[in-house]
Amino acid sequence: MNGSGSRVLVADDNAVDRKLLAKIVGKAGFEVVEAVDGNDAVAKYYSEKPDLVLLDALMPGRDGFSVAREIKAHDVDEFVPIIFLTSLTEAEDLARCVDAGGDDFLSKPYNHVLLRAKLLAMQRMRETNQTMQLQRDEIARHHMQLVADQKVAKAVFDNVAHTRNLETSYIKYLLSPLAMFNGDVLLAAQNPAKSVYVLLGDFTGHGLAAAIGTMPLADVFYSMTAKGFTLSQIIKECNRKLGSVLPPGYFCCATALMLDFNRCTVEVWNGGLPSAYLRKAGSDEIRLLASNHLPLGISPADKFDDSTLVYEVELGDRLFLATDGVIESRNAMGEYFGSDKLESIIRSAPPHDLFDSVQRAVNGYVDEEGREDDLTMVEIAVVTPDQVEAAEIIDDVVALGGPRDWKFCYELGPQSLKDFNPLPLLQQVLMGAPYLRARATAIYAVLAELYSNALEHGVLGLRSEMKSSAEGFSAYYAARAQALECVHGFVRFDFKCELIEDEVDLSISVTDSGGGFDHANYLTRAKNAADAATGYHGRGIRLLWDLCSSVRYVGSGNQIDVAMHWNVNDE
Amino acid sequence: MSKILNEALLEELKMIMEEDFSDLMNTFLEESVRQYNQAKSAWEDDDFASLRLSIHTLKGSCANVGAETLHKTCARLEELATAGLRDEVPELLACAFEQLADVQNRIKTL
Repeated sequence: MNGSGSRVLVADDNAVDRKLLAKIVGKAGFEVVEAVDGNDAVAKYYSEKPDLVLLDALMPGRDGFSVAREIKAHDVDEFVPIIFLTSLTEAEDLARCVDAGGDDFLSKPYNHVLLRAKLLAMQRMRETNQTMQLQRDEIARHHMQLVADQKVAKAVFDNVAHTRNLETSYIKYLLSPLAMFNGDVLLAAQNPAKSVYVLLGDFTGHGLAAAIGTMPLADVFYSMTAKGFTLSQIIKECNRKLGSVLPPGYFCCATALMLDFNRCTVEVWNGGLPSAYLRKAGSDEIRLLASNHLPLGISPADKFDDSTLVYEVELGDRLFLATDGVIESRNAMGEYFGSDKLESIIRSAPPHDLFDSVQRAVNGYVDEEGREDDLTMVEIAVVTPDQVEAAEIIDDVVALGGPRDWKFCYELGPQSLKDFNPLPLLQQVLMGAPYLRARATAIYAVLAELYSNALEHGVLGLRSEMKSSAEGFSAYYAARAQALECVHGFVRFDFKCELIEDEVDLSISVTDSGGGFDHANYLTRAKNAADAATGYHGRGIRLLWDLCSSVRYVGSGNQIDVAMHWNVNDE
Repeated sequence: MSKILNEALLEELKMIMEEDFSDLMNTFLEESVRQYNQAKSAWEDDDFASLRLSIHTLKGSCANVGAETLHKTCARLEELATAGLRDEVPELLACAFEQLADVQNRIKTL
């Protein structure tokens, strides 16, 4: 009594057998459809769509084997069980039933108990099969949805972690096409002074979980770079941001660089990535920029170490960075490429061919199937400042209005000088006057130069001659850090700005608490050296001469006044 | 020793068929005669394939109604027809005819 209304097709040319079967099957709770021969069986199969079939093997016209083959071929996904009815007893004949698609057989005389048991068993199997199909279809639907979702996610990801700023004459890069799924990220941006910031990152994990951290990271990186924040400030905020959004156990190994082509310096912060390399242009000398911090997203904000290392660079020097995909590439025997091999290539390749040499070496080493992490690597060459394009000025405020005649004074005392960089804030105030935005880059560069001179030479009393030699360079920055610890004094900015008709007049005066210096002598020497363009010191003043219409030291030299003047209709 | 009609099997059949028992028996009476006649004319036409099929069908019904002796005879006939052996066929067909008559009589007395 538990056929649950499933429909059974009974096909037997013998009326006696057929009637007996119909009775047994009906009593077992099934609905019965009768067929009198092979052709009738096929026709009833299509028209009545039975759930199970009882099929006589030998029938006139079309025999049971042929009917079974057609039924089984009709819908391969659908499982319609076939029980052969036969008084054939030879093993060969029974095997023939199974070959034709029979799932079971029943011999004569029909045992009604056995038949009922077989029908119910077959029905159970049919129901299992149907459940599996529903589940399979549901899985397929889910999969299609996931694929569609991923496409959208990838489009957003590609816009956020875009590589537009990497398309320059001085950058060569390889970003794994699977970056979205293996957690690699490579970002570059120019700041208002046309310094180039680069961030290479490798998030833990795989798939979307790894990639999703890229969004807040890129957001912080781009917006802070555009506003002129220092590398330390940016990396500190990246750490805080990732710490707040990533779950425990997730972090981002990263190396951040700031290249200042005007001052010929590179500033580095490396937390958790393999060593980056600085390859000198003229020799095979290389400097390892090893990881000396925890990756981003681990340390709490107050314990985060944002200290960076600064190196002097020359035209033609190259910086090479890569995620661990390079050194973990494996050959056919499962051996790793390794950092020794990478270092030796970086040392021995000709500088102009550095990036390609590494890429060729890795591709040659790796066996196709051995590729685990796809490669992400970048090389930045030190070039002249004119090669750097200005950052796009995204002006979302209509450039009308703003103050047309204004002035303000901003002074920093010792506590601020120690660990606060006022440049982004001052730049933002100045950009509140829309007509100044066209010169954002120049203004920022001037502010940066004036401030660093006032702080380092004026207040801290550091001599720029110290930077000339190689040891002097790191010694200079060490001395700077030390002096800041016990700084006293002040730096004051005085701004005055007027827009009259279409003429802009911006005056910037910076005063420090230092004793001043022999500025007359300094200016003379700098003017003579202008054509020779040698020596580190002197570069700063030449930058000011380029960008300002006038530059004047006042009093003992602890005050410098510069003016910038232009017509809004210029360029 | 095989029986002309297996009473126990018939009892069970009665239990299964319930009110349709006599209809089933009547169907057997009609069909068995028809199948025997088909077998006979097939033999007369020297058509072994049709002979085999008809005897096979008759054999099947016999099994289901418990006509054991006739079933055995049909089985033997089927073997001969399958193998294409002529000699014993006429004798066996005559045997089958008699046995069928016996079965019919027994059924009619049920």
